[in-house]
Amino acid sequence: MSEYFDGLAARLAERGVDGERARAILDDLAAYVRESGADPEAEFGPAGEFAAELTGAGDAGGGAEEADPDVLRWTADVFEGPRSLNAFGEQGWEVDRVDRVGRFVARRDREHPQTWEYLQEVAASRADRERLAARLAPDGWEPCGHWSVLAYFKRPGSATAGPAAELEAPPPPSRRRYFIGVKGAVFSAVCLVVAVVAAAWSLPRLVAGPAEAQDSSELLGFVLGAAAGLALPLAAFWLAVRLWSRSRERRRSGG
Amino acid sequence: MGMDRRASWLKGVLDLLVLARLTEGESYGYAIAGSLDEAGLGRIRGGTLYPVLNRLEEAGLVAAEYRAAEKGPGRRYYTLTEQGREVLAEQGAAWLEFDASVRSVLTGGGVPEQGAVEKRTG
Repeated sequence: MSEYFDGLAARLAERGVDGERARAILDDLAAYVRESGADPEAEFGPAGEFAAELTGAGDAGGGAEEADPDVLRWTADVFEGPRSLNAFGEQGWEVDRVDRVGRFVARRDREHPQTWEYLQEVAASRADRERLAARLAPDGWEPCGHWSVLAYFKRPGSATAGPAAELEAPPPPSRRRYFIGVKGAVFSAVCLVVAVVAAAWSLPRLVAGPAEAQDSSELLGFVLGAAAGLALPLAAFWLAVRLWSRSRERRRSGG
Repeated sequence: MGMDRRASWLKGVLDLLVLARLTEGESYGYAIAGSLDEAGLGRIRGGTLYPVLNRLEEAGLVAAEYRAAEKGPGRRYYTLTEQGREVLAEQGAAWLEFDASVRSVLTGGGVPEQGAVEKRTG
């Protein structure tokens, strides 16, 4: 086996490819080289990079973003979100989406990186998000993800700065991936305390209620009461978000 | 610039091209690269092709079988799975729709169709 394939075998082993599979891959590649007469390094690229490509996260659509060094993920609280977005945007990171756990997933164009601007808005429903998107579109903003009641929009720097938005030497991303500020921590702590108090108060009653029910109508009343107790705060929250986002929108269109 | 652009076009569609080649029956890496070259897509390096084959295999769109050779190293033979056939039909149709839109905009912008160019120069 050539030096190249020895190196590739070592890289595959480092990446946890089992012996039998690695042997099959290496044999196949060796057959390819034999048939094509090509130089392995010229054909497959440096062994380390090729091993990374071969063992990259599976995504037949060509996504393989886990193995892509140009993809960045970070998370931020609602107060730090806009600042972190714009800081990474200035370094050329373009948010593609917000994942299920609320992390921003961004990538940077390798050949022509440019700056990006971001907006964080509040939208209670898909209809609200669509309305917001339609209102912001004339200024070059486009949706780039949403999480819970937060909707995010991006705009390329070139929309306002033209070619000057292109970054000649984008800096390497900072190591920080969590942006939780004092306000966010206090807010989370208050939410946690409320949740714990509510659970401590309601759980024993939820357990005791059905057991103490005298008949089925009393049990039905208990179930309906519990459902209403759950639905009311959710409805109040949804309504508050809606009213807040509407009033914000009115203020904007007025100003 | 021209080659860079071609490489990026290919990046978006290579997985579908590989699946399409496998509808004709099982094949192996070098033969797939050769048939795509013959089809006019240019020479595709093993370093580009094998990661795509691997991803297709991991996604269950192709199945691979290693067969030892009497002389020299063995090869992995790839066959299209039922799921691969479905993805090819669905994503291939989406690509053709995209291609039709690109074509329509380019010809609308005065870019002559390939046939017309050949007729004029031939």
